Amino acid sequence: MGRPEGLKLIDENGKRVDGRKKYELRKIDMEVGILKNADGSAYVEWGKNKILAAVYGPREIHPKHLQRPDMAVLRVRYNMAPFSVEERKKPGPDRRSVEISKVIRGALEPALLLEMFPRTVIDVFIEVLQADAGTRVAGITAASLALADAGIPMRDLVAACAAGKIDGEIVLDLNKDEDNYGEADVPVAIMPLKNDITLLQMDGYLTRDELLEAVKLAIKGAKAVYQKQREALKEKYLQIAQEVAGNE
Amino acid sequence: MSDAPVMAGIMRDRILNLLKKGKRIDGRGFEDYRDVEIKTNVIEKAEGSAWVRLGETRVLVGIKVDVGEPFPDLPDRGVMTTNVELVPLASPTFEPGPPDENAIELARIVDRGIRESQAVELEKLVIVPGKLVRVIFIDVHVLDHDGNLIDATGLGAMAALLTARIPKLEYNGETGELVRLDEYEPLPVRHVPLPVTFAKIGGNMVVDPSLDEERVMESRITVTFDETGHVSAVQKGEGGSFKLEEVMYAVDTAMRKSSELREMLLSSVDRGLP
Amino acid sequence: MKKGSIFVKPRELVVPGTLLVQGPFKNGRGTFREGNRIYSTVVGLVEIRGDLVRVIPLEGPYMPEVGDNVLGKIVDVRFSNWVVDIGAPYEASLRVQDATEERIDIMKTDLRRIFDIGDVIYAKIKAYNEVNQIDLTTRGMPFKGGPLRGGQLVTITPSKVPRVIGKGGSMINMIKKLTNTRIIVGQNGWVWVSGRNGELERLAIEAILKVDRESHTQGLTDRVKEFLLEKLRELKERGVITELPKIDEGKEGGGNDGKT
Repeated sequence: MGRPEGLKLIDENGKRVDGRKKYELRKIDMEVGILKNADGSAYVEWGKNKILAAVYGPREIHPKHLQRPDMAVLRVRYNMAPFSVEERKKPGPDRRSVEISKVIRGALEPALLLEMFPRTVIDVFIEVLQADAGTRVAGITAASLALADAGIPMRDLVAACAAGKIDGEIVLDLNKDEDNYGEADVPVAIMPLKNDITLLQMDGYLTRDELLEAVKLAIKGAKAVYQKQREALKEKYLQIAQEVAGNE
Repeated sequence: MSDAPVMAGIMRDRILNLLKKGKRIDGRGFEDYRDVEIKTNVIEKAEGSAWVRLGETRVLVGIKVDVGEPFPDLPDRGVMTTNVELVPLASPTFEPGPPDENAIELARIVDRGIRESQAVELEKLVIVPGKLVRVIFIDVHVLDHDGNLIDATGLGAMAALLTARIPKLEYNGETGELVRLDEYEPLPVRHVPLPVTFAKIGGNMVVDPSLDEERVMESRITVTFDETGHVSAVQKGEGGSFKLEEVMYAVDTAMRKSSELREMLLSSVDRGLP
Repeated sequence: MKKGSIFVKPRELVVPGTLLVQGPFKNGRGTFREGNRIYSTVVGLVEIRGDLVRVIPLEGPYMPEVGDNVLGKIVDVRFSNWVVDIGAPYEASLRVQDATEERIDIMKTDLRRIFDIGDVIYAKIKAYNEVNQIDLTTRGMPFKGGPLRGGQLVTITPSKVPRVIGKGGSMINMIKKLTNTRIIVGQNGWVWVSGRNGELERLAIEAILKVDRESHTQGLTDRVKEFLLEKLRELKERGVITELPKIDEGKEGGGNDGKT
């Protein structure tokens, strides 16, 4: 669709436009606890995606009819900054971000012990500061870190990654060009401990076998992301411990 | 997290206990759809329309066709948009006002299924490339909500598209004048993608959940197949989770169920495959 | 030694979803059980005492417990009670009869003369029921529960309050003594610090925040003492204080307002 003439997403050596191999993730960096006001926060750079997540709560929710007497209410707001994409995005929620906010909530909810905080709300805010395809999986990854950083009890971290189809092949973690000119994008989120799939979408055109191959590949990618999440959560404290040890 | 009112505990227990015995509350098998009824061309003012009843769920889909500019990145394609209104007469939980997240998600799942299979031949709807194209509006009015709005809407949208007739246009390149003729032609449709939705309840996968079942479900998954055996949309909805085997089951079952639905749809609109 | 397996070291730093033990163990705070396995639900430090497995969280909200002494801020004055923010997920309530020994005629008394909006109080959690209603009492509390005058309020992670207090009050008493300040540590992680000397007051706060930040490390008491002494020497050089306070090791008075 509108693909530039002669653009090859996979070259004769099997390399992709950014030099990656078929099953290679982009470079991912994570940092936890970076905002002062929020109860928990995280920053994720995933390729050219720059994503900030913050958690507030559990706190009392008003108006009262929004309360649930048996559990906390989880609210998620995924939002893109106007300058995050090539052409300025009109500020505020559009239909795409409303849907993404909803599926991200569904992806995070199964991990949280919401029954511990009846009548409260836990707010998750995801701000996409720069977007380069895969913002919802990067957003889930960041939000999960921010929830853990806020000390909200969780059964497991939620890790996410996408796979897709470009030039007829199933590959891991599409970037913007691959998403634009490729055939399909399959974002997946999992709770790796028990291999529970908490988010699964497909936007594109795939056979049954291609779809399942993409789902399995995305799960593998998410497991690699999970290891990075665990390290990032510990890093905040290990850094302090090292600093302290270094001073002695 | 549906906005449904609190469900009576006994109903919940009943649904769960029956499922343990392999039964559903309304007597269906796990892979059975409710009774489907489809009527087309029910709204004369619309270029296409369909009324669908799926059990007690009722939706009305209207197709309106206009002329407008194409998207800058797709200059040689007509434009298609899908919008859903969850009007308050259909459920005590629907509120008046702009589409909420449920309406938006529903519209986008159905839209994606149609768009990604390129079911409507949008390339045939160009009048002047980059300047003037046909704009197809798929507008969905939910009239009675008894569960599984996604599949009812998917059926209704395809029934309306397959039976829509659009006025022929004559474009004068020199004057730039556009004349609407009194002749009509069918909307060009090449594929028939249909969503198939499952609820996971007490670890069981059931197709076409009723509202009572939706109120107790842990999670939901929709898979849209067209007649070529391609998937054009997948969506896991609400909270909860699926195992990989459950996803595989949903995909394979959806392929089978969508072809049954397709056969029924095509015979009710009196058409063969495009 | 019990039957079963332990997959973590004592005081090991874990994250949510970490398998801690398998076998005949009891799961305490910061964990959840599935079958005979116990997993962590929070970022924190593992603690196994006998057959009880817990994870002491390094972050997280204050969850009220009856008997906790907390600091709170009056956020509303109603007809017969005050609404108090104690940093919990729920607002707390202090009723007139729990605020004073005297008989108050609420028809004739402006409650704001007792506690006004913005006042900081020191209260005990009297009740915390299943509909998440928190009742406070200031009766029998030091300073009649307040309102506290002067000083500053700082907040720390509630789970780190025991570290700030130290064994038998050792940490907090050391900070008080070296900085010549009055300090009240609420179980909710709100800390009131008041000193005649502004610089010393600030130093005490720095020390408390240092304990909060480094709570998961070893040798903290010694490090805080070093930190304070170094800063005090600097203050003496600058003429802010005339002499360094004496430290008499081992002999510590009571005056611990929180509990360990």
